[in-house]
Amino acid sequence: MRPVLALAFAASLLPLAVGAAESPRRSLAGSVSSLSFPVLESRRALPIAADEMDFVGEAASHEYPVYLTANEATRPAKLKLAYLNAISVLPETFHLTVKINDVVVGETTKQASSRPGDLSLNIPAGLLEVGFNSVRISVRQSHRVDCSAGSTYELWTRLLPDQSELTFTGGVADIRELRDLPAVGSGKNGSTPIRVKVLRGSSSKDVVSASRAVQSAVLLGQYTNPVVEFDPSSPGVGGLDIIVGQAGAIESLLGQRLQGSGPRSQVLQGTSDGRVTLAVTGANEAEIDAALEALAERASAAVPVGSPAGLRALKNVSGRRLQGGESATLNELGLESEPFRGRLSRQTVKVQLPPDFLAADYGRVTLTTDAVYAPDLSPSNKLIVRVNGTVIADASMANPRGDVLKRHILYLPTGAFKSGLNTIDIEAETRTAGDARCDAVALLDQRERFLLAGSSEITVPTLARIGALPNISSAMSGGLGLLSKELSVFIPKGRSEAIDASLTVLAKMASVAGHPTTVNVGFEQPPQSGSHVLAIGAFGDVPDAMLRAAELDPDKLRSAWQGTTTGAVQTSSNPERIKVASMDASGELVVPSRRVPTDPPVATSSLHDQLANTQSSLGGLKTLVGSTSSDWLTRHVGSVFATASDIVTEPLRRTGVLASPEAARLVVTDNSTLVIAQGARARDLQDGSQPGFLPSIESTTVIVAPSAADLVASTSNLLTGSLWQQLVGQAAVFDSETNQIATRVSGNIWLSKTAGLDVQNVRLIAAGWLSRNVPVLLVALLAVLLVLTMLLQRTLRTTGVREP
Amino acid sequence: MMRVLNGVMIVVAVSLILLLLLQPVGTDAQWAIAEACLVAMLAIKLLKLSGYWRHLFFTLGAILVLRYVYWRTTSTLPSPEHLQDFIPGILLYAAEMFCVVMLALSLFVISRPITRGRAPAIQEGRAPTVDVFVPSYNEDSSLLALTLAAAKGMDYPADRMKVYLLDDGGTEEKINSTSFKVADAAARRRHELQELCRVLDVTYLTREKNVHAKAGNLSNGLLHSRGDLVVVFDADHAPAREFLRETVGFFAQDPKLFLVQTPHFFVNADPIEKNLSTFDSMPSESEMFYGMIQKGLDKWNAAFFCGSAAVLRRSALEQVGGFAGTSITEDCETALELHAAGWNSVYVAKPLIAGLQPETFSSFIGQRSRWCSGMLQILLMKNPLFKKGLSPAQRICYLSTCMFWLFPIPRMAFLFAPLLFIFFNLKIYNSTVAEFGAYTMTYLVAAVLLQSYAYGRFRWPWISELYEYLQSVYLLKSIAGVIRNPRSPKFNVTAKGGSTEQDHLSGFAWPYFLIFVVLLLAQGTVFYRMHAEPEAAGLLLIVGFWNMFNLMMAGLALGAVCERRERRQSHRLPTEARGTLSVDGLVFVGSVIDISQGGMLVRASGKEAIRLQSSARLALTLPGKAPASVSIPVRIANVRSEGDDRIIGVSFETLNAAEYGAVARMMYSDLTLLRGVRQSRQRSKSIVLGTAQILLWGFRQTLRGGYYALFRREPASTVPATTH
Repeated sequence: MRPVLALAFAASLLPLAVGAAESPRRSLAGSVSSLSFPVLESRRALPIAADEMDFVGEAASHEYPVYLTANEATRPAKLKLAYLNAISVLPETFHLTVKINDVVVGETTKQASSRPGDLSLNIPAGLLEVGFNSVRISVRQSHRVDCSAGSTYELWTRLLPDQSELTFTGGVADIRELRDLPAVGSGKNGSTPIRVKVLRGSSSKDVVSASRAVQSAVLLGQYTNPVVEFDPSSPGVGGLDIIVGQAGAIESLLGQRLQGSGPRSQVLQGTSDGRVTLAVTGANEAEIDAALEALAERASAAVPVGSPAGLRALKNVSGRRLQGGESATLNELGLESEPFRGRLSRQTVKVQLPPDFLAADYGRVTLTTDAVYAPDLSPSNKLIVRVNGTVIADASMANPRGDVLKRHILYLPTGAFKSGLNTIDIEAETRTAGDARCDAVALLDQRERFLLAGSSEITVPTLARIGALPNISSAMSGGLGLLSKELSVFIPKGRSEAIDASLTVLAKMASVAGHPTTVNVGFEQPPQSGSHVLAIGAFGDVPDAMLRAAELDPDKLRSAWQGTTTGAVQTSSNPERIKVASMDASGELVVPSRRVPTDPPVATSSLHDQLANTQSSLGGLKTLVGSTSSDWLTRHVGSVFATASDIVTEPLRRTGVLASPEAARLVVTDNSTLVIAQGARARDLQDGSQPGFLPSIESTTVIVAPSAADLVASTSNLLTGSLWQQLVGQAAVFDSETNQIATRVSGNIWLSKTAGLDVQNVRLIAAGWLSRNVPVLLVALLAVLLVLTMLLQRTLRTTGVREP
Repeated sequence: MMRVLNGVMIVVAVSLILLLLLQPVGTDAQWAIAEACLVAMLAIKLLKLSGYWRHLFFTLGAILVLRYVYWRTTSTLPSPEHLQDFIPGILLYAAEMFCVVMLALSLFVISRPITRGRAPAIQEGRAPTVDVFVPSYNEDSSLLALTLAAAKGMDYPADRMKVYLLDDGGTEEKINSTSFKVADAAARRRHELQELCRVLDVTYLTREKNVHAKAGNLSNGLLHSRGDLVVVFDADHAPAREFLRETVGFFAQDPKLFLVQTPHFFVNADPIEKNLSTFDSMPSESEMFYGMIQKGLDKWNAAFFCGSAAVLRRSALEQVGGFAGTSITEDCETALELHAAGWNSVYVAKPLIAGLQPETFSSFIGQRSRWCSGMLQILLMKNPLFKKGLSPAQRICYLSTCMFWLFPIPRMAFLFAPLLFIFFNLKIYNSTVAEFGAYTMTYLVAAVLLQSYAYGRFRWPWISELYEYLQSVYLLKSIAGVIRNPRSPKFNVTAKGGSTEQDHLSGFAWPYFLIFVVLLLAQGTVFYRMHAEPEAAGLLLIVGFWNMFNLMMAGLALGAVCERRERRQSHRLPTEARGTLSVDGLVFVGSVIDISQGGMLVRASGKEAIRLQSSARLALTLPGKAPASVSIPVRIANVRSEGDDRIIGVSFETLNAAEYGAVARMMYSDLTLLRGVRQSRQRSKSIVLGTAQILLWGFRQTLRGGYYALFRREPASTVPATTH
């Protein structure tokens, strides 16, 4: 009771901010006399991940879910922000707005490009709630000198995570319950460090126990970017410590008594340093096991609490999970529906599709758009929808009087999506004639040009649910756990860095999927139990056979990582569109023998274009004045012919009926710091070269790095940002330095049952499979048709009137 | 056993196909499927493959149609939340699905058309007795004289054939009419025709009352005759000499045979052919039915009685109480009853009569309204689906025949659907441009290919659409009438022959002009909106293209309702006869080029002057199996030179029975020449050329329609000669 009173006293001493003055006062605070006490203050860093600290473009917004304990939510709170602008941001138009739980708590127009600007806002009492709260920061900015759409990418405002925090007057967060685990703060890059120690030792069985405890903690704490360290040598800063072991041993280690008896989990907080420790314990091994089991059950059943906005922010932080057959408005997906005043509006929503979603063209996601655009925009403006970076649909915004797009439907084929995380960008160019001149008036033009309403809706159709292998995008989003009851994790030689990386991967998978993966761990060889193996290790440790099983060529890796060849250029073969495998596409892993200079973007190319355009218009003129030259005509007929031939042949090429011009290639160089690859094969059909429908499948997923240090660094780097969503296809190569990912699409796809095979699902799976294997569909269709025609003909001959 | 096995295998194959087709594979896959099917269809069509390939062509087409239906049903319908889009959207969808059902039915009908061999020879002594009925209501005696003379001239044992004129224009009811004018005309008509019958040795029959129109008249004929077989010729359908030889033999072969139907073969152009000037080059509208559909129906023992040019078995007719009269298409209804009673039919594809068809647009519409109403009466009152005794195939065939006449509904839906978007911006068809290309365009191409491949020789591209559009405007009313009260339609006698004195606009023309103007406004709106709303350009382009097609059809229709003048009252048939023309004591040797009801055109050599309007005699030797000589009194009507020869037009003076017989024999005894001329028109037109042709016609006829509307609006006097 005493600390609460003390805090209440302290709270009453704080000067109330202007913004907060209007909010109803809490009765507790009002009844206290004004005695002077030292003010206790606790800080809570905003969970800002690396890719969420930048606000790029003319309008950008990020929403962060912040968990507050009961103790914190009732305190007077302050939000401190520090930010930096790009030099190109025009000071007159800069605008930063802060909302908490959808209520504006403050804003600033102070541009800060030379040194960090800061903003300190008092949060009105009563606005924060126990549990998750939403902190949304929105930025509006425009370019100093450039009105082009391209220049908007130069505009950025960066939040400085280490100086951006919530502070609460009067004491620290009280984290003594499992439900308060989300309050464990995030560290660098918005990641949550988790140090796990199994007191029994560090055998493969202990790693299994550690993974169970870690995954449960991740689910309970709703950590989106966990980075795990197993049996740490140093105590570390921030984050969560997990200790699994017998009660006595833990007590002697922590110097603190554990309450209760029997299998149990307990959250302890250091009184002096505030360290939070999760102890999973029991009197003996059996009880510890039971405690782990009980913890996992609680984790799976955990329901986050908080304000509606906070829960929304939490749901969207790793992409809203949509299972198919459901809709979500853009509001629900975290879109801030604000009038746009710039030249290129870009709004991004992230959706997490099931890891066993079969990505192929058998349905379409509909985006029902409610939008408005202003009069007098350039007629060439368009609303463009990109899925995972590729333009999939567009709508014209060419009406010079402006227009209201009411329930305007855009179709996004399911084949454009992938299992796991997907981004949908809704872009609208809103340039005006004035922007072409780009004079002072145009630069300062801040009228409202476009509004994408939050009532716009994304509807995901019922999806085909089946594991498709190889598919590393599904593996990262929890797909491996769906394939079998128990995933075999192989950590060659039990190297500690590899164990850390493995646990980090498993923790991330649990966070993304929302459920834990049951694993079995082997150090010397993969555990025999499972048919799906995840092998994580440094290159020298992973057996060649395992690499081959994941369709990697050990020799080529060796020559890239251990050979004498100097670094080669990393060629990003990131495909434009996430292609699904077709029958004859086969990738080859190649290592370039020497550095190949990439062509810099040729600045004169536009000149060439201009020249060509001039020529073409001159040609048109010639024709008009009756020149005998048929060049112009030939060219236009040629282009019409080419378009027609494209319409005819492109679908055939895409569907694999005609051979694709080139197969996917993947390049590993000495700059590559991580390779993720997956191989799959039918168990009964070792030599199976044809993809079957549902034979028993086994798979090998390998995460391999040139060294143990690279493995840990690259894994956490890859998984704590949004980079991991770029993992697609059969294999990916990550370059830690440039943060580039190159991927390779697989030749064959194997299907492995994950969900129930009811009629609807089977039909969708069949459609998905057939749309990936159109030549098979065509051949089957024509074959049955030939037979059917023969049968019909025979029937016709023998029925009806006998022919003369 | 084999049949059962075959059936099981078909069910399995069809299920597999459906399983593969009803997969929601994406647009790319659809393109691949569509391209594969279209290329295969095109190859079969261009290589003119038949037999197995013909059926493959149909199944390939069916694939694309099914893919379209699947996509159209699952992906394009507007949401029921927006009723203003949903209701017209569903109506358009229903219209489209009706067309798909009709396509399926007609593909079934023509799945394997059969051509019958020659009729078995008749044993002279045991030839069945035949009663020839020529029902008449108001046709003039000269027309009847030729038909009766031609009927009398048929090659058949004379003692076993009797010809009856069934006159409904001289009934007691008419003669006793309270209107003096009617009574007088009827009495004079009866007298005149009785005299004609006496001369031609034909039995004149009339009756008490004009009940049940043509069906009643024919049934009355049945009561007063007793031949084994009954032959029906409309008053303007003159038979060829070999008519009975080519038909009667079938009856001996099959005791359950009730009908041998032959094609209606017309010597004149229908008003649309006449007004568009296509008669000499393009196959007529009726040729598709008689050249392909009846053959297809015959395969399923469902060829039906078309009211004339047919032989029927008396015992069969008596079993069902004579000619049926519930509907105003007694012919089809009678056949339906007899098929249901287990009787069989045969269709002989060889044209064996020469007939007339309506010549003015209004009488054409009148005729089609009767057919449409009658067929829908059958559909409503004797629905083939539930009629006891029919085989499943016969049900499908009759259903196809009756339901065909609902075409005005979808036709009008397709005409007005684009306007909803153009004028009111209703979005009744949800699709992206890419999907529209992959599904709708390929479906349309497949449908055009199917039509062209199946009927190409008998129907040029887009001609069906034109005829359907022209009829739809007026037939909608008939459909509404039948649906309101299935018993309401009354038999109206189709006016045929007749002539048009001068170019003029048909009295039925105004709705076509109205529609044309509306569509033109819509097209203007499309161009305006394309300019004003560039954001909707893709959609406007598609809808505008659709409306453009409708506009082109509407323009072509304007030409079709502008009546061209037709001076001749009767129609010339080519013939071959040699002889001499004696005029004013001079004798010219020559040959007959053609002959009509009123006179002949003679090519003669000799340079002597011939005085116009002088009386002459034409002595001719008639060709054929039994050559005969005849001398016909004529008058010189006109003379012109052609090289060394002179072409002399002569008109007939009053003829006696023998002379009528000779004229009829010259006209109709041998239709080989005429058949040759018609067959030469039966060649398919490629889709590309046919489309280009239609576009050209559309443009020309729009201008002609505009010209008539401005300068030829005066209603001209027409001289109708009406027959059944």
